[in-house]
Amino acid sequence: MQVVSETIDHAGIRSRRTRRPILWTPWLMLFPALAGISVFVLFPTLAVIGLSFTHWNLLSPHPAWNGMRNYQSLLSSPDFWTALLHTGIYAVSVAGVILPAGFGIAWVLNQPLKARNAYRMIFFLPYVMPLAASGIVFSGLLAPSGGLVNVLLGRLHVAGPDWLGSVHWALVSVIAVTIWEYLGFYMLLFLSGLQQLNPALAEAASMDGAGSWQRFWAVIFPQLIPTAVFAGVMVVIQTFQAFDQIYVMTAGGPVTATTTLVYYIYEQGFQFFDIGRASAASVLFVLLVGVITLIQWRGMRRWGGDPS
Amino acid sequence: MTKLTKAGTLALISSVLLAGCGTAAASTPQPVKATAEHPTTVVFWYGLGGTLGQNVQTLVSQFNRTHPLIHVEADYEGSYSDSGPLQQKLLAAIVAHHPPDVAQIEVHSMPVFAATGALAPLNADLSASTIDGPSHYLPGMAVTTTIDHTTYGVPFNRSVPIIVYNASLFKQAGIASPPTTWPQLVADAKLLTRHNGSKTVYGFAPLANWWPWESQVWSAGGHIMNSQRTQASFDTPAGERVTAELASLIHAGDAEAFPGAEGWDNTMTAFYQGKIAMMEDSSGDLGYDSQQIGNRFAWGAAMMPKDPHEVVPPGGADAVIFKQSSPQVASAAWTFIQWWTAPAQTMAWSETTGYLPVQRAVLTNPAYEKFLSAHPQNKVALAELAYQKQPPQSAHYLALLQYVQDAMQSAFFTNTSVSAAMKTAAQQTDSTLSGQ
Repeated sequence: MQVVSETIDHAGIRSRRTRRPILWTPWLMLFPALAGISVFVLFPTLAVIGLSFTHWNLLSPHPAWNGMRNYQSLLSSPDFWTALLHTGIYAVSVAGVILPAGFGIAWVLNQPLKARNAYRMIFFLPYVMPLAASGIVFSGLLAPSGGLVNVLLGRLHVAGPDWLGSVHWALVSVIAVTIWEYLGFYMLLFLSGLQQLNPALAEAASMDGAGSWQRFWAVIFPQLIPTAVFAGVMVVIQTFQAFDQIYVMTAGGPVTATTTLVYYIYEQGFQFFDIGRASAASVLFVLLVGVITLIQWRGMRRWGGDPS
Repeated sequence: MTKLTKAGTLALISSVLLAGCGTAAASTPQPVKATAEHPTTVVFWYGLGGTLGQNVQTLVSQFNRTHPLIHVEADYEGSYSDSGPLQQKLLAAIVAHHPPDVAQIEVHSMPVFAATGALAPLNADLSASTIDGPSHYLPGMAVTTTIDHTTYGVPFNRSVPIIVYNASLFKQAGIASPPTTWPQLVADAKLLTRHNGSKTVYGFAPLANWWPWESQVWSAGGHIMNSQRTQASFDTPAGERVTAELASLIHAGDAEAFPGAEGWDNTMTAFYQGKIAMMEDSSGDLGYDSQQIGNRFAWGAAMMPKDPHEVVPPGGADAVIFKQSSPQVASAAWTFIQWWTAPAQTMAWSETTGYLPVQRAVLTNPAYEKFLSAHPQNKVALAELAYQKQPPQSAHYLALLQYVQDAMQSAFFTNTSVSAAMKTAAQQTDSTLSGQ
């Protein structure tokens, strides 16, 4: 039923406005999801924003208003910038290896190979393992004495370093384990992209005399851009959120060699019990990821079609 | 489908919300007489993993078997030390007003948890107890349990830092006895270090850890905080002297320190493999050390060196009861704690693990005397008790220790000097203390 009402505006002109009745059924249907999002996402997010302007160590009954001090102290702290740098190195290294390698493997496993499904499964298998579990396994494999990696290197008369204990190797080792873990997922993304290609376009290009490189560069690659951009967004979000493997393998150390932004937030909150500072770092982190995602989203619109 | 009215929708949503809230109201504990079928349940959070965790479970099972009216539910919640998971979960549980009934509290974190106001004072229980109380305990056991005249904890699994050494390597190097001073330790480490091609046996393995660091600061006459506990005071020449000597030893290749989260475990493994002649360790590891070393080589334990003072920090954990527990549960919790610390159990716990027996009475027990003559390493921890010092009782002490640990890692594993690293740690501590 529609309710039609007539109103007279200030100029005395009659206008007709249609008032729709509120439909309650959709709200009821949405209620479970909205309640979940409110309790587990919305309220905690608002609480973190509020706490970022306070000083609270969990011990005092109430947080004390601190204004912008947490933000000022974070932005002038070398440790915060070091954590940001490590996050950048981590994200660029993982993305730099995983995107081309994922594509390369997907390309090979898209060819008519014998037992290619078995290979696809083998490459995807690490992604199924929880990161914390594979982190523990790799901690054992990379142990300085008695770890399989250094034992094998010892057989070759090479003295392996302390992979997770050296300030020079720890971040590299964590990056390598992350690549091992996620590679299969990106292979799968590219594989689905390759399988959605329109073969008629490549055939038409061949008939027009295009070589294999030209076919790839001018015909196949442009069709894969949406997949590549999506993979880029995913890898950035995944690497910025890196925590499990660092917590398990290095605890952010040695010194601060593997302290990324999320680990830094955890450390401030639960090692130094500085909830205000940890909350301020979380807000900055969300802003940073938001800006990067926005840039990628725009890129996606430009090169990869409508992301919505 | 029939469209719902506004009132109907609100009623449905409200009923769902009320149903959710109803659980809390329904769960309010009502005092009921405990029976063997329905014993009083005591939730106990502990923070010892691996073999030690199995030892905890064995003792708890024994308690449950012999106390049919009480059931202790022992839950491992991750490490209780180094701001570990148990401490984090406890703080979160306290803020959420849902703590367990009993928990292990690492001795340095007692001021932090006392400051929450969530711990039950135990003064009256201790006065009435025939088992627990300072007059029953070994000397120094109460240095961590009382904050501003209120006792919150009972010594549960207590330890001290010690030096563990490979006596076979000492003999090969012609050193008759373990060092008693830090300068002697440095000299011995140089003598003990042997380079044989790509294989090196290091004379010493200091831990990049705050616990032995406390002893290093105090033994040279330094102070960790000022007397008002408002400022860090460890960044002085005296406070840094021993740590700087150890850093020089590492950089000169006469000592090896193991970095990272697994640093302590890796140190122990290297020692068991004969790659290290001396290491800093906890007396709580002596049982595990003995098991791992077996007959591989002769080994011994020595007191932490002095320079010139002999001072050691307490270690391990105390047991606390939370205020929020009902009187019936708190009483059952107190029965459990007294049972655990009674001479028979504390002796069994000490013999199995290497942790100190809490009670004086154990020392005169012939069975324990026999155990000590078979395991002379354990005598060292008992001798150190006289030199235990109370760490600064500050609610911010855990943060200070974390900053110091980062500083030690910088000094041991990078080119940063001890003095620069400790200066940074002191500044970070002061900033935390001033609430900036």
